[in-house]
Amino acid sequence: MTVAIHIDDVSMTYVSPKATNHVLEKVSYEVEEHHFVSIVGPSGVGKTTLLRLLTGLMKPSGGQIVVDGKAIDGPPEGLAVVLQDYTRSLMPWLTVEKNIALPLVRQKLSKEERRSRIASSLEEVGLTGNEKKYPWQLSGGMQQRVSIARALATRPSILIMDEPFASVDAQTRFGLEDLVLKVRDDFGITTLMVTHDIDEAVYLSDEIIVLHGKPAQVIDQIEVELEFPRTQLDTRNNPRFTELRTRVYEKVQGL
Amino acid sequence: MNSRLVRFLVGAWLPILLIWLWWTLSADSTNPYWPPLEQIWQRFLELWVFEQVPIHVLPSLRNLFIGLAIGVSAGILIGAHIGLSNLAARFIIPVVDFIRSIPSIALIPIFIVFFGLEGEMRIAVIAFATCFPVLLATNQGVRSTDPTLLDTVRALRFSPFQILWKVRLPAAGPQVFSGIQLSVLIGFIVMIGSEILGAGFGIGAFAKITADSFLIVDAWTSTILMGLLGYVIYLIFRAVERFVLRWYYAANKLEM
Amino acid sequence: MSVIKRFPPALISMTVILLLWQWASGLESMGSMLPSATTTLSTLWTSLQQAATWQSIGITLLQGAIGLVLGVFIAVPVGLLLGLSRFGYYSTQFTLNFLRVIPPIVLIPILLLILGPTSQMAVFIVAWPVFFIMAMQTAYGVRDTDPVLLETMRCYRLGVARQIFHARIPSAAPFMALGLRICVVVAVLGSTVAGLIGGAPGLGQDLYYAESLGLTAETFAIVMLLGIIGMVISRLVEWAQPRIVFWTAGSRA
Repeated sequence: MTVAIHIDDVSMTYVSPKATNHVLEKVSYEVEEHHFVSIVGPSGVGKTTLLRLLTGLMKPSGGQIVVDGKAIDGPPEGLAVVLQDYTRSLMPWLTVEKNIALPLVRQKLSKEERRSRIASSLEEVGLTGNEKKYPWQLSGGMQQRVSIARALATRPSILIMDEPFASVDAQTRFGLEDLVLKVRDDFGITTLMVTHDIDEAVYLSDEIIVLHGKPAQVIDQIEVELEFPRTQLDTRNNPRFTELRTRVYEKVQGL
Repeated sequence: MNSRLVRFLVGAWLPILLIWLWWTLSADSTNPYWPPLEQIWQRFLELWVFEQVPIHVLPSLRNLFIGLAIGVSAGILIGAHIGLSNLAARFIIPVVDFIRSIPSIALIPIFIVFFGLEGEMRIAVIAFATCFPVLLATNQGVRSTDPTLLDTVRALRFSPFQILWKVRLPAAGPQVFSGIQLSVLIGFIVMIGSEILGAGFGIGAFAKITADSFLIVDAWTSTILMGLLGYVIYLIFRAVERFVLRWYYAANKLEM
Repeated sequence: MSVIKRFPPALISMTVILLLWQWASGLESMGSMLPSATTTLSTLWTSLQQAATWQSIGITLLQGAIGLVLGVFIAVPVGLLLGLSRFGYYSTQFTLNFLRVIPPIVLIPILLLILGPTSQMAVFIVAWPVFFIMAMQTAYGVRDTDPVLLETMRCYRLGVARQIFHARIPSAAPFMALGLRICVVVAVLGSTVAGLIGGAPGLGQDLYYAESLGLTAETFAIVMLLGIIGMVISRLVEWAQPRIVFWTAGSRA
């Protein structure tokens, strides 16, 4: 077992002239390589703060985040992101294929290689044939698939998702969840996801971290030992699924 | 330091620097076209505080005010009513669109033909030129009332006339004011233009006459005065807009 | 309604107005002040067959175009820099806005002294407002770039230069396009004003002579011509704008 991300005693305090907001207190956790980890907790607890620290967009006020044996200082190599606001994270003036190609400019790829990356990523998310369309010509679920394809095309080792399915309808959501599981299977990407949806966390994850308190701490780590491949009907009907979601629910509520 | 003071300082250093640069760089100027700012400033105080104001500034502003009042009210009234009827709009809007496409200043010669060079001409041309932006903006605003809002008041059995005055027009307020803003600018341009063209009184005429007679310092003072007037008129417009549309600014949490 | 279906309403109302005009010009009280619609239109028609008229149109448009290009080319880099720096943006807001709301017509008397009644003067009169409008629009647009977009790019380790070219500038493009649309109208207006008030060459100057020589038919014909030019240009710009910034909500309808 290898540790992909080491969250080491991370604390975060926002200081503004008006108030000091102590959000995270000595959060520690080790994410295993190829694992799918969900971060859950009540609203406003600091899940998104933790996620932003993991992307390297913000620096923790205490502790460090170690990726590949190095404390990160800015977004680490091999990171890809999928954010909730797909309309805001895709460029409306670029076609689907150019959106996917944009992060690839940093990787020295031949023209054919780049084209095949784009094609295979689109195929993975089931959007082949939409290369020349603009994001706003696609439905919300399809736009989120483009975000995922963009992430995959960079061949990331770590994928970070911030409530990726919160803005799509329930039907589309199930499809995207299964897509994410398939992607994880095909590429073995270490995945971290913040979600509000406890069922979704249980369905997708190998492990769930529950944040609670003010400042927030990790109050529980739950191993989800449900077997793969998971399916929307069988997995969700499994009594063990119900037990796990009850446990996560109680922890989130602070019971 | 509080944040208002910081905001003031951040906004003020550049204009202060520019004025200081102008003052020092022009101090020893012998170029007749660029007299020292100090001279301009002293002449400005002699002329415009406030000896010449009743002769050259107040009549101009009175013309502008009356012209704008007529133009804007006509624009709102006509715009609101043709906003109610698709048929009327389809006949009238193209004509309005054509007249609006004429550079407003080019209307002055036509009005000189009819009204001569006196104050009435200026008021008439300002009123005419400022009517159209408001008319078009009001027409568009009145037509784009939120349908849910309209259904609600219809259910409350408002008459169409009540709906226009109580619902459609207030809802169109922000658009109407963006039209008025354009009108105020056009009114000011036409005011100055009509004064420069129709020799006689007025700040524009004063600037033209002094420039033509090589009274360069005087011409500079009137240029500065016109600039300041333009900005003050803009500030007055903003204050009126903020007051009338306070509901809109409050609802959208826009910075006052 | 059947009449409306066969003829566009615009055509009908134009005809009605021309008929009214024709009738009014025959009234005693009008004297010779109002030339008849037919006289005006035929004056317009003959003048359109003269090279001098086309030369005036050309000069008016050229002065506008040069001023526009000059103003835009200075304003866009300035606006870009101001938009990238918080301090730069807030330091210049007041000054730029102050100068923007002052119409350039106030500069004409003094410019006449310095530059004389020339095309340079007209170009300056056009470039001045264009600069302030475009600098402010560009700076605002650059600042308005969606932070989510920028964060996404940072997560993929795309550098500052790429953020500027792939996110900041495209985000500012709709604001710049709107500014440009305003500026095109301002350019024709400025070029005409410089001619009419300041004696620079072009249609404005022709209008000034026609009016001061009491040639009422010519005066009306030139004003109509200016209206037609203005309309054609606004239509062109309205057509082009959504095609340039095709991704904005308004152009997708």
